[in-house]
Amino acid sequence: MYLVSDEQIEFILNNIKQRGVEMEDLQNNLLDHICCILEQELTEEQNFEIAYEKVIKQFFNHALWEIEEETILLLKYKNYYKMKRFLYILLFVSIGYNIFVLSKLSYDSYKQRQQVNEWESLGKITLEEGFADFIEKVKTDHPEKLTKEYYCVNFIGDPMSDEESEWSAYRHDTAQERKAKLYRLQEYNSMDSVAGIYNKNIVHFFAFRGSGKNIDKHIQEHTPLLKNITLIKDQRKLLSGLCNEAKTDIGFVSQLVVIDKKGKLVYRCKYLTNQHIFLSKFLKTLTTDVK
Amino acid sequence: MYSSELIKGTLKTIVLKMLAENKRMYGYEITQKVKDLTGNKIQITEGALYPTLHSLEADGILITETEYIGKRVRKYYSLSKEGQSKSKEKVNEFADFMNTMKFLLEIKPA
Repeated sequence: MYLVSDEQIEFILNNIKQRGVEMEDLQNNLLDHICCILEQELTEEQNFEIAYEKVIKQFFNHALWEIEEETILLLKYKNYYKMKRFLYILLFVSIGYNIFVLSKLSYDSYKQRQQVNEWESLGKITLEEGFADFIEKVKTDHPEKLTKEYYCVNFIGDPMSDEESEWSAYRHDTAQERKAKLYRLQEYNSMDSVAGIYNKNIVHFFAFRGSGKNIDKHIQEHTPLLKNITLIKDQRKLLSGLCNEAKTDIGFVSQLVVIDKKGKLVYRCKYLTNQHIFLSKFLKTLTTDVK
Repeated sequence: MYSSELIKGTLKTIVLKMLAENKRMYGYEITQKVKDLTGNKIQITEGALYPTLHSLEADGILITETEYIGKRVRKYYSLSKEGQSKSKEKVNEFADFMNTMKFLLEIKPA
């Protein structure tokens, strides 16, 4: 077996370098490979340089550095694909995150809008049907009350809940009539002006409709201000039918609560048997109890 | 001898299989082994082998150790743990591919 000498090794290594291969790792691999071939194929009689030239030409089509170029290309492409994959993952994650955030935002705003709609429309209806007279009376008899920041009137509850319909004048209506009525109730948006006047001076005045088990849930959902109030569930009376001249039923109220700006309970009316009792009681409270 | 296109597509699988069966090998050894096993039908060119070995090493599929043979350095390649499963995966994939090709080419003879 032919043995490649140290000088020949040096010669081959230099030649590999001259042929443009710069990666040391690759130089060593090629050197060993060439030596192996030479040692296998060469005989002592043959000329080393001629044999080397023959062997080295097997390694490439045009130039030896093509091997290095191919190596670099493979390594580069690997990184390129890794980077591409990473970017794709990043893209999908960020799209997913954005969808999540947007849907959460839109859900929150939908929920909020839903609450506001229910809150405002019902609140305004209560003002109009149940408490408009009362507010007028406060305005004429106790104008000083409106200069203090006391109350605003609101009404919470679910007009379509089954339990409630048992008590309200909805109970003889067909589902379709209820729907129509509900729609009408929701059209009271023009009441903004009424609510607006009082909102300026009145802070919170809640009328609870009796929604049975649901009422606690409603209170929790709708107003954190009310969390300390104990409901008296058995005091359910039809309010609007009595308050309203046309005797149009819009629901019923189990109790009325007044809360000041800081969320402190200042008035609770439990006996909403008729408008006058309610009004006089409430007015009395306004003039005597509220500090 | 098979065309270089065919060899190119299967080179990785060949290298991984060789290393799975022979604990550690150096470049020349791989080419010789394949040549012997296939009766000269598959001759791996150096120009294709080394880029593939370097790339597999960069991937962590192969691990290397070097030894001095006189004045020159010999680099031995062996499968990493990941490489062992990769080797099986590649061989299985190719076996499946062969079956598919067999089926495909038999029902649609050229």
